[in-house]
Formats: sequence, C-alpha cells, structure tokens
Amino acid sequence: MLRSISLTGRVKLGFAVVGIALGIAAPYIFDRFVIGLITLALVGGLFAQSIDLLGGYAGLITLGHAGVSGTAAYGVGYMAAKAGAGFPAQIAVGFLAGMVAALIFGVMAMRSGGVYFIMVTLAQGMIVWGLSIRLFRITGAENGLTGIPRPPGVELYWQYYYLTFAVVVLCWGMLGIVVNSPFGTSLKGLRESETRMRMLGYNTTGQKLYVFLISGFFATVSGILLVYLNGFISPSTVILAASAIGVLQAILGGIGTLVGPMIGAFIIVFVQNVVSIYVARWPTLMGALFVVVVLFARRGLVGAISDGWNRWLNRNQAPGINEPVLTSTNQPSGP
Amino acid sequence: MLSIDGLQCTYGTAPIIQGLQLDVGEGEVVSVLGRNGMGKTTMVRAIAGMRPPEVRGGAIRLYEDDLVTLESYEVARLGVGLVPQGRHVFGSLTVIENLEVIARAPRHDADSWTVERVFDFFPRLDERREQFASNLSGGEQQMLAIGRALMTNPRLLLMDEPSEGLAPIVIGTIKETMRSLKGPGLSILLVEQNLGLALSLADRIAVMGPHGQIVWSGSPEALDADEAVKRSHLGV
Repeated sequence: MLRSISLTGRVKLGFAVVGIALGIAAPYIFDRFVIGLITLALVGGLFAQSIDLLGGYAGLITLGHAGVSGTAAYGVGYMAAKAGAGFPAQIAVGFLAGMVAALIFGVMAMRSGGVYFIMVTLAQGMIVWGLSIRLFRITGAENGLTGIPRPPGVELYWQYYYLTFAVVVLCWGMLGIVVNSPFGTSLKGLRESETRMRMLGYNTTGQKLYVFLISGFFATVSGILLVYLNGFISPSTVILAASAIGVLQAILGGIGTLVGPMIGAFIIVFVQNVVSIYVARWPTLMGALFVVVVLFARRGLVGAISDGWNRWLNRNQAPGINEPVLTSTNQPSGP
Repeated sequence: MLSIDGLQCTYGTAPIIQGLQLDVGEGEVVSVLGRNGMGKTTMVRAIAGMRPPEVRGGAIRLYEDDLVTLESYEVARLGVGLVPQGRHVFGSLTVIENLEVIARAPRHDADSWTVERVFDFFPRLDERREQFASNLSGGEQQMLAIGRALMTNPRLLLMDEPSEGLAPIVIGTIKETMRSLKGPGLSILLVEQNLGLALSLADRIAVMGPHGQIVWSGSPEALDADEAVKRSHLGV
C-alpha cells in the first residue's frame, strides 16, 4: 500500500509519523518549561492554521481573528470566574460565544475582499478589544479574569499537553479534509479571482461566510485551549498584535499550507521565550528574521524547503524517468 | 433561446451600446464580428451579468428569465457558460483543480459534463492534468477555459475571442473541438475578430458596428461574398 504513494508523499507521511511519535514522547524527553512552550506553540499553531485557511487558501487576510478566539476564551472565563458554572457549561458557552462572534464577523466581512477585508476584520478585532476593556462586569477590564481551573483529568501540565496535542492533531486532520475537498479547491479559486468564481456560478459572498465560519470554529477551539492553558484571560489576548502574530506565523512558516503556520508558531514561541533569556532585544531579532524570510523565501520556510526538494528530485532523475510511482496494480494480488 | 432586445449599456456616463438587437436560437452558433471598440466584449459582460457595464435599458432574455437584474453567479447557474477573453484560467491551480472548482451537484441528465468527459474531449489536457495552469501553452489554456465553462453544463456558451493570441495551427485545433461541440442542447455565441474561425463555425453571423448596433446579419456564405461589408466593418 505504501508503495502506491509517490516519494514526496512518503516523505510527508514519514514526517507525520515522526511528528506524532515525538509529540507522544515529548513529556518523557523535555522538562516542564519546554512542554509548556510546546503546548503554547500547538495552540498558537492551530490559531495560525485557522487564519491561514482564510488568508492562505481563500486569499482573505484577517487582522482580527484574535477577536474570535478571544471571545471564545472570554466565554469560558466568564462562566468559570464570574458565573461559577461547571466545565460542560464553560466549554459550551465559550464555543457558542466564539461561533457567534465568527458569524457576526463573517456576515460583516463577506461582501468585501482584499484590502477592505483586512480593514473590516481589523476593526472587528479592535471592537472586541474595546469591549473587553469596557465591559468590566463580564471581562474584568484590564485586570482580566483569573482563577480559571483546568477540567479534572487534565490539571497537570503534561496531562494538559496531551489533551492539547490530541485536539490539535484532530483539528489538523479536519483542516486537511477541508482544504483537500472540492470546497478547498474552490477557496483557491476564490483566492485567485472572485470575479471568475462568480461567472462560474459561485455565490462567492456565501462562500466567504462558510469559510469564515469554518475558520472561526478552529479559532474558537484554539481560544478555549488557550484560556485553560493560561488559567486567565485579559485584554492582551485580543489586542491587534495577538491577531497579527497569527498572520506572521503563517507567513513565516509558509502561507497556503497547513504545516507552515504550525512551524511558524513553534519558531516564534521559542524565539520569544528562549532567545529572550539571552538577548534583551528579541523583537529586533524577530524583525530581522521576518525581513530575511520575506526577501528570500516568499512562500515561507515550507515553500523554500519544498522548492529545494523539487529541485533535488529533478536533478536526481534522468530525463524521461518519472518519480518512482509504483501503483498497487503492479503488485501481485494477495490471497 | 437568448434574445437581446434594445440593450443599452454604459461605462459610467459613456454610452457604449445603444440599442442592440440579437437573437440566438436553440442549438444555433451565432458569431458576432466587429472591429475593436464596437462593444463586443461589453455585450458579453452584460449577458454574463458582470458589472461594469451598467445596463441602462433593454432586456436580455434566456428563455423566460431576464438576465439584466441577475448577479453573474445566478446567470451562470441558469446555464450561461463564459469563456472569457484572455482565457483567465486559475494559474495557481492544477489543470484538474481548474475543472474540479466547478464540482457542483451534477444535473440529472446523462450527458452532463464531468472532469473525465472534459479530458476525453481534450486529450491534451489529460496529459497535463497535474500541471499548474500557468505552465500551459496559450492553446492549452484556451482548451482549459472551454473545459471549465463546459463543467457548468451550459445551455449557452459565451465565447469572447477564443482565437486571440493563438497560432493559426492552434486555432485549427480549437475550431475542430468547437465543431464537435455543436449540436442540439448547446447554443454558442461566438464573439470574434478572426473572420475565418467565424465563417467556418457559425450558422449565422452578425456584424457589430458603432454603438453596438448590428449593421449586417446573414449566413457565413453571404458575408464571405459581401466585400463591401467586410471592408467597411471588418477591415479585411
């Protein structure tokens, strides 16, 4: 069965297997500090993937997605810290809050595109931030909401890591199904030209709302994971920079891929937290990193690596001989 | 099936088409010829529901439906397939993805278009199915644009200068495939500057003059014989 997959496919499969094995073994290898960072990177990576579904696949760059994930996080936080509700209610309200925010954002933004879409989503994110400061009774304003315990069974750092890892892998798989479906192809068409999609019979306005809701679902999941990870939520979770960092992670890793945003999130989280121990001016270093990536690897690190891989493939194959694709039909059939 | 009656179109305040009359019958191939700037592409855009141009008056009817008030995606769903000028395939998508983009629930009749049927029709595209559309030659892109329009299962195929920028031998290939498309169930409105292509494909030819008005209409043979019309309106 494995032999029916192309070499590139087998390499990808190999990376996925190694990644999952590493993910399972991580708590036995790394200390608490590193596991905490990995958990944070996984949550950030899922958030960046939700942004990339809009920005990288559908060509709709958003600068307000922290408004969606943040609303979900505030929903959980309010139910936990203010209402004193149980975990099912916390998660249900958080999920509902995030999806309602995504629906409102989506309806507002679906008629725009390009720069206007960026501006509309930017404003939406700022509105959530403004509300998080003003609605003191719900959000605790600048103090935020503290004392949000994790659900039973995942209280310990490594337990919560495993939960996060499982949820992120599951979401990644779901995103993979979305982007490889005909709907995913239609998103790429939308990215290239909305006019062309309309003349082919697509109601692109509705299509944009659907993709915003799907993206909002994953942003909501990441928001809920984040609030239980940190145990508190404050307006700094929904500031513009929180939305922008997701976009930057996607660009750094490779926009228009699912693995790119995750890699970008790991790089940024580790640069922020590890390098800042040794270098006081880590934002400068991050800035320099971005300039280098944008100048020399337009499609991010994943784009650069896949270009290099394809060049290597071409160089190592004699003309006329294609990539070794052995179809299963060539194999003798089993008993 | 398609009937354009007294159509008036403007870009902003500039009038482009002032009173266009044109009919396309069931299964008929009508070719609209005319010099640059007469309003041929404006007519195509108006039929396809693309804005601009603004439609200021008149009607465009597809059977019973008035297309003027509809959005372009609604026009497409009624069965108008557009092959736009300059092809405009999705360059960052592979050939097969360009066709799969239209993967909607198929109509129930047996001869609705599928990806494999398009590949049977254009074997050249079949060989290139995993390539990015931006890497195709102009003729292959034109085939892909036609195949993509067919995937919408059109009753009327609107083609805006399919021969533009193609080598004569490639135009010949396109001509052959279009000839085999002709038949019951598919009407074609072919907007062209290439007289030869129009003469060999069309059942009827309409010549568009200034302000988008049809100044001559008749059979391909009659046009070929009419040197005066060819000289004054087509410049050949």
